[in-house]
Formats: sequence, structure tokens, C-alpha cells
Amino acid sequence: MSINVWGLFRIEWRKLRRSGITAVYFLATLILWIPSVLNADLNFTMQDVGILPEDNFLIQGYMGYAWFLFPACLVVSTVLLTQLERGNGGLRRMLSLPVSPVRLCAAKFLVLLALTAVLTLMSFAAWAAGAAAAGRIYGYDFMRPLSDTFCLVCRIWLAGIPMAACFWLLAAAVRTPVFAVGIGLISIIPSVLLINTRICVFYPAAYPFYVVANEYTKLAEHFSVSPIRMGQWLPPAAAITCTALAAACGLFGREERR
Amino acid sequence: MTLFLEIRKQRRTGFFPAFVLGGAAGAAIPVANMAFRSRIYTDRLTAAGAESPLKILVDANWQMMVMVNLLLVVSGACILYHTEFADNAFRKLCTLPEREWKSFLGKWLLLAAVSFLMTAMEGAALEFCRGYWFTGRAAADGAEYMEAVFGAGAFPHMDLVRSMMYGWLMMLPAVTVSLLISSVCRNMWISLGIGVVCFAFASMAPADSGVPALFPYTLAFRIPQGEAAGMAAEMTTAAAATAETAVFLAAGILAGKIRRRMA
Repeated sequence: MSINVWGLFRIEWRKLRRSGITAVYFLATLILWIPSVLNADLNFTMQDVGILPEDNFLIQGYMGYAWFLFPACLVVSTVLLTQLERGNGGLRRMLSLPVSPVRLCAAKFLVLLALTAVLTLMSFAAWAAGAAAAGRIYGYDFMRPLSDTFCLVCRIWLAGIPMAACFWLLAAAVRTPVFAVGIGLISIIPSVLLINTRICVFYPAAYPFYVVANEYTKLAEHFSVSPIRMGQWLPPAAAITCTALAAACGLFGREERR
Repeated sequence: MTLFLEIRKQRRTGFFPAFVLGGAAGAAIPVANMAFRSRIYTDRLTAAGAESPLKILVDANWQMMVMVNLLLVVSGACILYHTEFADNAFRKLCTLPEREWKSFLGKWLLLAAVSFLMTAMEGAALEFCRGYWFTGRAAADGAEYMEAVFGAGAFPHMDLVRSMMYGWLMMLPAVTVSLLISSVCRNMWISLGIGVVCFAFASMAPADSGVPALFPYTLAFRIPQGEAAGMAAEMTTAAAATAETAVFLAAGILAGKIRRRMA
């Protein structure tokens, strides 16, 4: 009898109970929205871009989120998933069980996606609370339709999946955490330069940021990024995701199995 | 003595290659920027109210270089203590006839030294850019060109050295805080997470004055002026950065003592 991916997912998820990662996520969402709430009056001076204050409040917050906080939290989560078990040779024990390493790797990747979903939901809740608070302070309703915002948040999360696969490959392939983390974090920086270029579709770290910039284009009159069609984006994104995942599953636990 | 011990501990963690490669990445930023878009910047030299070449270069590239430096400092600080915590090596460290704060100080010296190395590499790149694209291009003949690139007087130029020293000094509070966090948090993802969030806060909410500007990670984003005009303000922030570094160093030493008392 062997455990399927779903069973392994549940086991891996339970291991995270006392890791304290939600505290880090909570800190991240606080840091994201508190400055926006305190400086919410800046949103009234955006006439030259032609955007409503409530839309600007949302977009500016999520720009910071999609550009840096979301990818960086992803890198931190990969560290969590790889280091949690290395401590006392836990991974070696796990691999000595009759468990397929490929399935284990896939389950851990699913846990990574679930963790980012938690982060995404937290940022959404923090946006709603922040918009309400800013409304109280400045006497202007910063709320937008919840369903619209929820759709945007979900699209950011979906666009983050190829990036998650790449970071997971980095964590599985590079044994020295300082390299995996350093490369991951530094690769986030150029995405802000790349969203208006043709390379963008081949650079997974820029996808979530592009989603937000695209939304900005829709909401503002005088801001635009070059449009990317779904057909242009989907093949490279799918190829990158599949290649990265396959490579990660192949390399996972290589050191321990030797 | 402890510094050499700490250096030997990091031999197989990829710590040094990471910083050398990071310094190279930081140094590549101004070179790539000038190679692709040199016209934007050289035109500014002839425009009305022209700024000095160093100021143009630093204004255009320094922020991104700081991002590379800070992210490496954050992850480097994590790895310095991760090697101790991962296999419970710090327990053995506690039984040694050595004071624990010496280890903290050794790690701090090491991290400050590698960030100095990174800054020096980036300073050399800025010097190259200035010579190649600004003063060199403006020169008429070969001899003048060589003189422009390598300087008629002292080499390297004092304004650049001063700017880089200032940039390094501004980085030290973040170096100290990152190391303090990773010495307190046993799990690498927690210390990395806190460092990353602090970095995000500093890069998304820039501040030039008031209390928010004194946040250690925000200080690192200060752009060195490189000119006599900004000297007074630079001296103030430099003093603030030095004071913060001293306070956090003391806090780190104290944290080690408290942990020992509690153990």
C-alpha cells in the first residue's frame, strides 16, 4: 500500500502547525497595508493618471504585494519546506519510508501553493479591513466590490504558480540555502523593468506584477502596459511550470538518497 | 581570532561565492544601464543645471544596487546563524571555554567585511562607468582620454571613495539588525521572513526625514551625494547610522547573554 499525493499533502500540511509561518505572513500583510491606510489621502491626488481613489488604493497596495512581498514570501516558504525536515535528519527518515520521492515532492509543492493561497486570502482580508479603516479616517469610501477584488487576488495567485515552480526547483536543486534564497530574492528585482518588454512572458517572477499592472491599465485612463494575449503567455508559462516541476521532482532528496 | 573561526565555519555553505557573485551582480547594474541607455545619462551632463557624472550615475543606479546588497545581507545573516542552529552546534558552542558574544562579534565583523567587499566592487564599477562614458567620451585625444579615465591626480577619486564609504556605513545598521534577528530566531524561515518584510517596508515606503527615515533598512537606501553640498546632512545620517549600529550590536551581545542565562 502506498500513500497517494493527497494523503502526503495532509501529512505535510500538519507538519507546519508549529512553524510560525502565519506570523510572518501576518507581519507581511500588516507592513503592506498600514502605510497605505495612513497615507490614503495621496489617492485623492491621482487626477493626472485618471483613476478613482478607491481603485488607486487597491492597485498601489497590490503593486507592492505582487512585485515583492508575494514572491519573497514564496522564497521564505520554500526555505520553510526544505529546512523544516533537515534539522534532525527528518527528510532522510521520510525518504526511507515506502513513499515515492516524486509524490512527496509533488505534495510539498501543493503545500507551497496552499501556503501562498493562505497569504493571498490574508492580504485580501487585510485590504478589506484597510479600506474600511481608511474610509473612517478620511471620510471617503475606499471600498470596492468584494467580488472584483477577489477575482484580481485569485488571478495574482494563479499567475504566481509558474514562479512557485521555479523557486521550488531552486530550493530542491541548490543544496546551499544561501544560494537558493539569494538567487530567488535577487531575481525578483528586475521584474519591474521587464513588464513592458517582450521577455516578460519568459520571466515567471514578473507574471503576478504584470497582472496588477494590467488591472491598472484597465482602471486608469493614462496608464498602460503593452498587452499580452492569453495565447502568447500560456504556452511558455505552462512549459516553464512543467519543466521546473519535473526537474524539481527528479532532484528532490538526491543528497539524502545517496 | 574568532573572525577566522567564523570564516572557516562558512567555508562550505556557499557564503563567500554568494557575496562575490552578488557584488558582481550589483556592479553589473550601472554598466548594463550605461551600455543600453547611455544617451539618456550623458545628455544630462550637457543639459542646463548639469550635475556631476558621479551624481548622475549614483542617482540612476544606487537604489537597485542597494536592493541587491540588502537582500544578500539578509540572507547572509540567516545563513551565518543557520549553520549553528541547524544541527544544534550552538549547544556545543555554549560548552566551550569561550564567551558567546565573541561569536556574535565575529559574525558581525565577517558580514560587515563581505558587505564592504560588495560595496568596493560596485564602487569600482561606478568608477569605470564614469571614466568610460563621461570623462573619457568628452576627451579629445588619447592622452587626455587616459588621463580622464585614470585621473590626473589621485586615483581612485576621493569623491567616489567617500560616497562608497557612506553607502557602506548606511548599510551597517541593517547588517547588525539582520544578524540580531537571526541570532534570536532559531528557525531560518522566521528570520528570513522578518528580514524580507523589513526590506519590503523600506523599499516601498521611502522616507528622507523624520523618525521613519531612521528605520535601519530605510537608512540603507540613502543615496550618497558625493559632493560637498550634501556633506552636512550626510554627517548627521552617518552619525545616526553609527549610533544605531552600536545600539544593535549591544543588543545582540545582550541577547546572547540572556539566552545563555535561560538555557
